[in-house]
Amino acid sequence: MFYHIGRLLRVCLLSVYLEFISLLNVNNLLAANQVDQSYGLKQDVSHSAILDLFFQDNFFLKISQETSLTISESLLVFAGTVLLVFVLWLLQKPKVRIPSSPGFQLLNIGEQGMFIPLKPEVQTLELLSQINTGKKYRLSANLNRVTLTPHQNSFLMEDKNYKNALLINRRRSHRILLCNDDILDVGEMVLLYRNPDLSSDNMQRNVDGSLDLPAASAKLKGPVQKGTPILTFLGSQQKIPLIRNLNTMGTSNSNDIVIESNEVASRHAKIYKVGETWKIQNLHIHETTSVNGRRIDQRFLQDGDEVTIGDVLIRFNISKTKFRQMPRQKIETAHKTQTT
Amino acid sequence: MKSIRLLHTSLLGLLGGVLGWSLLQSGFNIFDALSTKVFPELNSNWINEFNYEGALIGLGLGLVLQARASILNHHDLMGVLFKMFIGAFLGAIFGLICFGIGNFLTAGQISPSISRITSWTLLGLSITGTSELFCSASGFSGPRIISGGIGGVIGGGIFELLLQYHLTGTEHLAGLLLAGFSIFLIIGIAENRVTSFAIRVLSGKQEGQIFLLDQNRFTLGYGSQNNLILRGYAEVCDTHAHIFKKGNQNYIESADTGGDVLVNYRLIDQQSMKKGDVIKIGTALLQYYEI
Repeated sequence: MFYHIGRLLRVCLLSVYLEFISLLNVNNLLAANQVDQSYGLKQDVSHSAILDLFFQDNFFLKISQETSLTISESLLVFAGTVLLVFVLWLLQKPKVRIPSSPGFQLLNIGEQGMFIPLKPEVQTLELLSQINTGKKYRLSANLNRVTLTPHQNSFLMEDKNYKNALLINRRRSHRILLCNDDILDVGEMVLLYRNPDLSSDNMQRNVDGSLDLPAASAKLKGPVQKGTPILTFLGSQQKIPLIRNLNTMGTSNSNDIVIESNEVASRHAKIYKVGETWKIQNLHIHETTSVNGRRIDQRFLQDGDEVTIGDVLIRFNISKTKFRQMPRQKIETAHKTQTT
Repeated sequence: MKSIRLLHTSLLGLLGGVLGWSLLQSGFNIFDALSTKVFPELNSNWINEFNYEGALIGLGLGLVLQARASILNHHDLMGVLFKMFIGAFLGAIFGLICFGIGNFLTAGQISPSISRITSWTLLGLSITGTSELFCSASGFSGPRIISGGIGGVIGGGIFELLLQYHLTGTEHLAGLLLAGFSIFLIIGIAENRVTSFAIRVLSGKQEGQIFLLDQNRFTLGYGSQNNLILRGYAEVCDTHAHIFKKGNQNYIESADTGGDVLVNYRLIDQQSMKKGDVIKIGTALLQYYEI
C-alpha cells in the first residue's frame, strides 16, 4: 500500500516537474520573442501562434460545437459505467454453498464441486461408485470394505481390506478420524471432507464464548487469565483451560486430563509450559500424537493448532479474553481431575 | 475459465470506451463553460483546442484496466478502488502525453489519420505499461506491453475506418467503444496464451476463488502488495510464498520471511508442482491445476 502511494507521489512529482519545465520553456520562448523584437526581426512568433502550431483546430474528437449530452447526463453515464464495474466485481465473487451436513466434495476438475452428503450412520465408501459424475473415474474394487462410522461429530474411516490405495491428506492410512478439510484420494477421485460442525469458523465462534454452556456447568473461581491455553474437544465441544504448567493426558485416572477412548493410551501425552510457550510430547511408544495432521514426538504448540490424540481431536487455543464461565469439567469423554 | 476471462476483459474494454466517451462529453461541456463564461478574456483558443481529450480517454481506459486486474485477482473493494484511482491518474497523464505527441505529428505535416493511429498505439502501449508498473516482476512485461500496442493499432485503425465512412456515431461513441474493446481484447488474448495453470482456494473464507497464473512470478500472502491475497486465514505471513515459472514447470518456494509451505502435506522449501497438487499455506488449502 505505502509502496504504491510512494510510487504515486513520485509520479506526481515528476508530472509537476514536467509542468514546470514546460512553463519555463514558454517563458523562455517569450523572452526569445522579446529578444527577436528588440533585434528588429519582425517574425510573429507569439504565444498563441506557438499554441496554434501545437494544438491545431479540429484535431480529432470534437466534431461539432454542440455535445450530445449535457454535463449532468454525461456524469450520469460515467457513474453508471463505474457501477457496472462494481457489478462485475460482485459477479466475480465465487458463490459458495456451505454444506449443512458432513459430506465429501468432489475436487476433480470439471465437476463443479459436486457435494456428496453423508448420512449419520455406519456406511461404506461404496456410495462413491453410485454417484453420477461427468467423467467415469476408476475406483478401487474393494470400497465396500472401507467403512465410515459416526464418531464424535465426525466419521471414523477404517479400511478393513488394506488393499485400497486410500490416501488421506496424501498419506496412506487405514484408520483415521476425518477432520474438516481433509483430502481423500480414492482411486482417481479426489475428495474434500467438509464438516460444518468442525470448521474453523464454527470453532472460532464457540471459542469466543457465544456457546450456550450446559446448564450444569461448573463455575471456576474467578476468570481465566488472558493467555491461558484452552483445549477444545472437537467432538463434545468441551473446553478445558490449562491452569497447571504440566498436564498429562490419557485414559488413566491419574492424568490431569482424562480422555476415555479405546485409541488412547493410559498415559498418552503431556502438554507443558516452556517459558512463555507450550509444548506437547508424546509419551507412549505405540500410540500416536499428531499436530495439524503430522505425527510428532514433541512440538511447540501455537494458537489454533489441531492436536490428535489417538482418535480424539483437540484444538489448542490461547485465550484472548477472560472467560467468566467454563463448561462442566466432567462429562463423558474427558474430565479434569484437578481441583481449581 | 480462460474464455470467461476473455469475455470479462473485452466487456470491460467496452465499459472503458463508454467511460472515455462520457468523460469526453462532460469534458467538452466543462471546457466550453470555462472558456465562454468563467474566463472569457482567455478567448478560448488554447483551452478549447487543448488535447485534454486524450487525457480523458486515457483516464477511462486506465481506470478500467487497473480495475480489471484487481477484480480478476479477487481484491477487496478498497483495493479495487485504490487501483482504479491510480489507473485513472496515470492513464490521464499518459493519455495527455500520447495525444499531445499525435498533435505534434499533425503539426509536423504528417497526415492526421496516421498521427491519430500513432496516438492510439502509444496510448495502448502506455496503459499496459502502467499496469506492468504495478505487477512488478511479472516477467511478462514485453509481450504484454506489445499486445497493448497491437490493440492500440487495431483500435486506431477501426476508429479511422469508421471516421472515413462516417460511422462513428454520436460524438464517436462507436469508434471509442470499438477502440477500447480491441485494445482489451488483444490484451486478453495475449494473457490467455501464456496462461495454462491456475490455483483455486478450497477452504475457508475465500473458498472457490480462482487465480490464473498468468505471470512468471507470483507472490502469495496476507499483505496487499501480493498478487494472491489470502485474508482470513491463520498463520499466513505478509509474503508467504512465491510461485515462479522455470521452463515449462511452475515452482513454488517458501519466501525468506514466510512461514511453512506444504505441498501434498509435506514441508517444502522449493518444489515443482504438478496438476492436482494440494498446497497448504497456513490454514488455507489451495489446489494447483491445469486449465
